[in-house]
Amino acid sequence: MLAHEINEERESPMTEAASERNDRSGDSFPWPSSHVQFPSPSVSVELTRIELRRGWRWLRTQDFWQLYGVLSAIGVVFATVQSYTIMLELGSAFDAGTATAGSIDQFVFFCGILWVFAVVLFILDAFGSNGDLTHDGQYLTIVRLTDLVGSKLLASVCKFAVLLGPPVGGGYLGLSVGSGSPFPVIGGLSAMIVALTTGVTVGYPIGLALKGVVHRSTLLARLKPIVGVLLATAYVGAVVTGRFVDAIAALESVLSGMPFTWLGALGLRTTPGAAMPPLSAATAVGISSVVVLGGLTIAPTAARFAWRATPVHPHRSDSNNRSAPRSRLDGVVGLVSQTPATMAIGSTTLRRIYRAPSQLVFVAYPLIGAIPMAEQLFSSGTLPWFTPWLVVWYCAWAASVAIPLNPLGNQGATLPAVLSAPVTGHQLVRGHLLAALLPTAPVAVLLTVASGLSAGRSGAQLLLLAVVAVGAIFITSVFALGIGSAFPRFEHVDFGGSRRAVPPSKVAYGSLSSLVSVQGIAVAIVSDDAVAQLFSVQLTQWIPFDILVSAGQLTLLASFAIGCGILGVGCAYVFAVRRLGAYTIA
Amino acid sequence: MSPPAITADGLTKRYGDTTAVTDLSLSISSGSVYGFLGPNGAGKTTTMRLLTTLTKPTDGSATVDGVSITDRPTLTERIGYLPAEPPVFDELTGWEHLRHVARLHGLSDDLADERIERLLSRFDLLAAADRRIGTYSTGMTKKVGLIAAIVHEPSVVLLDEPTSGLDPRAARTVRETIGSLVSQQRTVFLSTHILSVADELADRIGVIDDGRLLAEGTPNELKQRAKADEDAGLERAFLALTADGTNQAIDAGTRDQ
Repeated sequence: MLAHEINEERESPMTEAASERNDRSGDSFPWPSSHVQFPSPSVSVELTRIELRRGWRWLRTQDFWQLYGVLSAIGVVFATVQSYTIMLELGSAFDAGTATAGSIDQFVFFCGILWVFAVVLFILDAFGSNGDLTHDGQYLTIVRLTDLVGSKLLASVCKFAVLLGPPVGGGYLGLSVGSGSPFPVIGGLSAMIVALTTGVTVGYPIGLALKGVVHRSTLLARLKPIVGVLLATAYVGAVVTGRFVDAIAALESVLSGMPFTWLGALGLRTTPGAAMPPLSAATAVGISSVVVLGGLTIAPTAARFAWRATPVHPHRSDSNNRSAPRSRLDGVVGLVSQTPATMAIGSTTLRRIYRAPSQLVFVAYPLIGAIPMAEQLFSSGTLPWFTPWLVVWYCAWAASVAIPLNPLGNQGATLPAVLSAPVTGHQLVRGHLLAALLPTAPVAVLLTVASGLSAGRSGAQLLLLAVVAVGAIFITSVFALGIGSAFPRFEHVDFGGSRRAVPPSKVAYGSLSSLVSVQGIAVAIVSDDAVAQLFSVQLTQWIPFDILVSAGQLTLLASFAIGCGILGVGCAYVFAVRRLGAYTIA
Repeated sequence: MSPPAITADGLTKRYGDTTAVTDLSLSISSGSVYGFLGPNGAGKTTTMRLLTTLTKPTDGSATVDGVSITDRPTLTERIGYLPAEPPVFDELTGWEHLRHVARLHGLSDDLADERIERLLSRFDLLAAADRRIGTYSTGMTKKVGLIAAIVHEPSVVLLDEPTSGLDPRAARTVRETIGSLVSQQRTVFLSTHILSVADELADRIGVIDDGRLLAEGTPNELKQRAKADEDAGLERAFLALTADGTNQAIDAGTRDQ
């Protein structure tokens, strides 16, 4: 649909636009006018189509988000298989007439959880960058704000339908197969539509209202990243400690009662043998209509509140300071820098990471593997004996991936300024090494010693681990500089809004990760007899033709690998210095 | 006659089958402003990258302030470069970024801060100096980029579109700054699409199109060569010089000088 067609469909465009301009009276809450308007379906659909197309084309250029999508898809497939299996059993029970009231209650409870989950997703979606209005100068003068809101809701539903559709569809497929009837799918489809439409009309206004509040508050805008990290940490902590399941269980009485029972009744109404009351299912449809209409009425008001706020600048100083800024970071980096240029590279790199922590997201993936160990720590108070070595490996890998693995790409738009300044390759390399070592070495020592204590290591071993941790960060950072300067990457990943990060190239990421892993294993084998014995046993099992690999042979091989690594460190350093010092822009 | 600040002899840059700059020869006097004009994609930015060591020539040679463009360590001490897109870090405040650049040039913090304060004040940015650049307008960002290009007081300053995106007052400040640099015997290589700026500031102008230097001379000389009309503006001269069919004649006329 063309723009002029959109114009033709809306009611009194000039009046609407003028009215909305007049509404922009400041930061007061824009209460809805007595004249309630609903989104025009055709305009909203057109806007949604463009929104989704833009999103899809953006996604095709963002390999980080593609990876995230693949991981999410794996999770969705797993959930789909699980829901199919569970619902197959339930369907069979209905077919055999052996389904208990308890299993139906569980289904209703699960419907409630799913609905709450959907609402939370929609709140986060609206609160995040998807709830922002892009090209507002264009859109707000072409279409009604109500239609824009309608398109946001519709686009959000479409996106989350992709996420929730397969598990729900798989579940109802299982229910149909189990019960021997195709009709359960009708109920399932109806319940999913009700859950998504009510979820979005409840969640989106809440998310937009929260966005408006944050836009108006300097304090909240400044604390937003910290609050986000705290919430994420609390969520992971709750999952690891089992409190999350406890919290859901505590909500069981609420989520198993009305109105969630109505949603459950709708979901099973067409399933033979479930005998769900038709009145409950009809009530679910009726209530959902009221919720949707109410949400559509409130959402434009929330959108005005969010979009018409003049965003505060969380980092704008009110001090009107007109003198040179003083920085403790500069003082610390300056203590160990030989030249101003080295100090400039080191301190600026750290300052940018601190202020744009989204760059660190690339080092978070392996932490998923630490969840079982954290669970063990919480449950038994101890850690497996090999944990300190994993901590050393992770600290070295994370420090080198986060900071020195993309020394050219990290400069971003400033690369021409850096290259046309008299900065030598040595200064660039040393600056990045300082940036990698200064913040991570103390943390690595602390984590390694703490994990060593929990794993029952002796004092001498703890000292060795601490030294190895610092050495490993230094060595892997030099390797990272060599690999990263050979395979730079300049395209950024967009995290929404103005938050961007330039990740290392995939070749650099993979090469360094492999190298660090091999070297980490080699060091562990040489330093720890138990590790050598473990690998000896494992390799003997894996290698064909009954070839025996003794711990002594393995230690010799590991020593050789370490020797190559030491030589490689020198080569990587020299290569990075030359490459960075003489780099040219094509 | 002052010695040349920039010389180029047969400077050529090829990217595969595409030639971005062809056989460019220049001689620009010290303490002058050289206006470098050309349509989009003419080879202006590539020329500036060649002169600032950011890219290597395929053929030919050039010197800036007497230093070969292949000698990056020495040359970079003497030049300041403002690309069309200001090279700034959004996460830093204006002052922090300028101090970062000054440190890259080896300046002590005390000296850097003194210069930064003076330049920020001149460009009316002092009040915003402790705000992050990400919150700046386009014009403010451009000003920060320009200050970064001159904070180390280079002998030769290469500016790519320094006045685009600036309000009239800021554009005037930039023009005054260029005048001030020239009065200190510094050389300014100025690439711009705003012909009035080149007309006002440039001692000599070179017009490049399709990688070739089509014409070179003072603004008045170019106007006269393009059309025998003393009142003809630089815009008419530029359009005539870069139009198909007239290039060869103008080129021949220029090279005969």
